[in-house]
Amino acid sequence: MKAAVKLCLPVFLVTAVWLHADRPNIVLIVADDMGYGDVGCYQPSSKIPTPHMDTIAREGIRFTDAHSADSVCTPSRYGLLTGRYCWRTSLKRAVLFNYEPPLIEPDRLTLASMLSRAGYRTGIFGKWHLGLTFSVKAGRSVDFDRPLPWPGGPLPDRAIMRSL
Amino acid sequence: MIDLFASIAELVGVPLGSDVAVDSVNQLDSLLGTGSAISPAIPLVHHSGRGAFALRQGKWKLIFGRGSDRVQPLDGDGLLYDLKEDPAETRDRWQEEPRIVKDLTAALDRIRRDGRRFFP
Repeated sequence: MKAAVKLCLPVFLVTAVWLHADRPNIVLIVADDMGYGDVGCYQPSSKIPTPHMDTIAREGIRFTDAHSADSVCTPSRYGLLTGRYCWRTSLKRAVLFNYEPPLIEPDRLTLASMLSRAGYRTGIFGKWHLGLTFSVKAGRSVDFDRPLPWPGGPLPDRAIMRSL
Repeated sequence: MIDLFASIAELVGVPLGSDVAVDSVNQLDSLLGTGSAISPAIPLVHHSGRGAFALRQGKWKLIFGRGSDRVQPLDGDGLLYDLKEDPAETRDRWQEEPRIVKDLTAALDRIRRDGRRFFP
């Protein structure tokens, strides 16, 4: 069994690689602001060619009534990585600014720490947007074996916002 | 999306404690295409960028707010739609179906307290 779980939702890539052949590798691809009509497998007349996404859909399962955990970025990512709705945290609306403290609580089991327990190696590549203090202060790796998120969400830093 | 956590835990054989991933329901059979469709009995909670809630259960969608875009938190009546008869959400049933409004409001309160995974 290989790559059993495929989810099209780019920009954010979570990977978990099992070191032996008897368990599936898990790759989650998460896109910001991608409408369901943007990819060919949901909208054949889309002006954006998405042959690889279409292949994944053709060889896998296409859902027509599946939803993100929130209507915006930060809380959706929190929900994906913790299995908890983000409104359970201190963030009750909207998204984090850059360089705010990590939204995921230090002891919270995440998709990455859960998979590490199961023997997987995990990694994250691309946008994070769940609080980035760990990127400037030593001590927190937010669970991933390869924490290489792109330091930034769609919003500028507060200091930049103030200067605008 | 919220269900990927429990589904992946099931896939790799990690049991989840009662305080872990409280909103994530195992849907592995649906993801692998080996089982029935996702149960409409387990409500799905929507949440707007402005902090308003909505609940989907069975054919009903209850929006605790007004308007269709960037829904504001509720202050007064919300919106209720029968998605089976009215998938375009053109006819608000909030006033006509007080029992459904009450039941779905209670369901959301329970999920907010206990977690969606433990919805009876």
